[in-house]
Amino acid sequence: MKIDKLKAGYRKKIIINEFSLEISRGEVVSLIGPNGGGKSTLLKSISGQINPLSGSVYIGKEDIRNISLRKLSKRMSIITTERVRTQHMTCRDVVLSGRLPYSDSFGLFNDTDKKAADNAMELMKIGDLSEESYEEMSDGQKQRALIARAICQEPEYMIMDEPTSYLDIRYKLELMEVLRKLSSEGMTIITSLHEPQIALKISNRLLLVHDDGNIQIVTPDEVLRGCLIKDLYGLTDNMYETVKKTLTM
Amino acid sequence: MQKKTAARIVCVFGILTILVIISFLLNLCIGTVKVDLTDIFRIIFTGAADEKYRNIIMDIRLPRALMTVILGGGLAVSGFLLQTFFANPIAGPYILGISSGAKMAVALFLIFVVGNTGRSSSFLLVITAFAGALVATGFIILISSHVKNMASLLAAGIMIGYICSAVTDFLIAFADDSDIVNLHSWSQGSFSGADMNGALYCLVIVGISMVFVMMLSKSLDAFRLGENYARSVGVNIRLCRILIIILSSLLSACVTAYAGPVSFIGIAVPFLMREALKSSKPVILIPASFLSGSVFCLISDFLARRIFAPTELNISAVTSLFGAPIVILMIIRRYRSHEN
Repeated sequence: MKIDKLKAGYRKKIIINEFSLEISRGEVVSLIGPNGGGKSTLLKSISGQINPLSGSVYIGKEDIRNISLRKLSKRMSIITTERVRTQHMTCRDVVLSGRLPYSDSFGLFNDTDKKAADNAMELMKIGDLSEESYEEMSDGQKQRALIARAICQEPEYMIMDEPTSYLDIRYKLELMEVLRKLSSEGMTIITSLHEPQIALKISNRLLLVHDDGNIQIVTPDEVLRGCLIKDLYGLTDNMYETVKKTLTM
Repeated sequence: MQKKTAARIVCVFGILTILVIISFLLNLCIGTVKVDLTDIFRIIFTGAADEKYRNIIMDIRLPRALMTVILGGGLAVSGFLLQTFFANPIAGPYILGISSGAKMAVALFLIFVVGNTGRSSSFLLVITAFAGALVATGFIILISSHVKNMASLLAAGIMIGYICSAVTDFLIAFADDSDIVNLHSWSQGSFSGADMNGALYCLVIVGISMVFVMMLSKSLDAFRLGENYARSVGVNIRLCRILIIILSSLLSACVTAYAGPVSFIGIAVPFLMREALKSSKPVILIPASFLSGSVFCLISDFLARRIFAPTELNISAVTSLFGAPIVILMIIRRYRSHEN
């Protein structure tokens, strides 16, 4: 994937200043930065949910805007921060909806689809919840169902907006393992994260999304060496000392 | 667990099919003049029977029952589509004022065009109703782009319904008597004017619409998780939204053109089916809604004809009586599930 001179925002309001980046297969790229800095906007531009103000995103050699949604849906899956409200859908139904790109024209699933959904649910440790009503699940369980949904879509690229939200510490750590495994199998993962310490552990590279819309592309090592977190979040010396301990843990 | 779901689906469809057949025959047999079941089969399949009975069945009851089956189903599916569009189970063609928009357009057409030229056709009638439904839907969509709150949107829809009904009432009040023969009873909703030609038209329009609706079922399926996720599994959101609006307007326009606005079926029936099937999968829910819409409408029409026979009630009086409590139940349920 190649991001070429991308500038993102809404109408005339520029949120992300022009930047370019090439991401190779199987890479994990995390976006970290302060709230409201534009992480979501950037992710939406990359996944084609909103059109960039200028510049383009290429998948292979093709501009993402020229790839049909049908084709794109087999190559890219997303997790958003919006809360999903459903009616009469079980956990399995929600996960299975990630298989719609592969289903027949009435949205009916075959055994391969069901197997993929089951595997993804096992991976996210919600296998025994599969027949539960989605509405009655806890927020953390819902989040894991949505992640399982994105996984069973079997994409090349998974674009995740704050996938760790609602997850407790154990599931956060487990999610890290899952992401590592998927990336080692060749899936490219672009994700925004609230926890710098997690981002540092799993990412090949980090995008530091600053308040002013500038993007800094760095490796985890550079973040630790250069006290970059301190500037990024505008921390005081005391605050940074506390954070630093968690970063190097 | 999945086997249980499959058994439930077969069971619900079995019951619905039986109910459609029973209530259809009930509508044919019972009326001011009772006709035996054997006579009915003889009349329909061989045509050999008493002239008087044959006229009653072939000219009055059969077209009326056919139309009720087709339009009742269409109305339920129209409601289902709108619920998907607005992501709200309380949306429906009647409550959002779409039926009233169609009603106003038909009233205008009947008074100004038919009244002046004396010419009318089923086709023109449906087109006019469709235009009226689209205009009302357009207003609703316009409002929905400003108002994100569903309760306010529904209130706005009800207001649009009132405005259209008020205009219709004005038109009726000032129109010549000759223009409004039947117009008044029609504007309240009734299947009483059905003839074989009209039933045939409905069959074609609703039939074609249903084919398209079924073709949309995969996209509607994806819509259950909201627009962003629908897009991520390959649904062209804009195209899909336009198709939903056109189809739901066409279905409710067809009902309004032939039977006037019929209330609550569009909301109550899909809700009941979701509960009965414990599923919201469109590919199952669409045909189920159609069948149960037919049953609901057949029984309501039967009651409308029979409760105070020979005086006929308008059908909305009956559908409201049964439909409105179901909708109230639904609102309470939703409220409770949000509390938790």
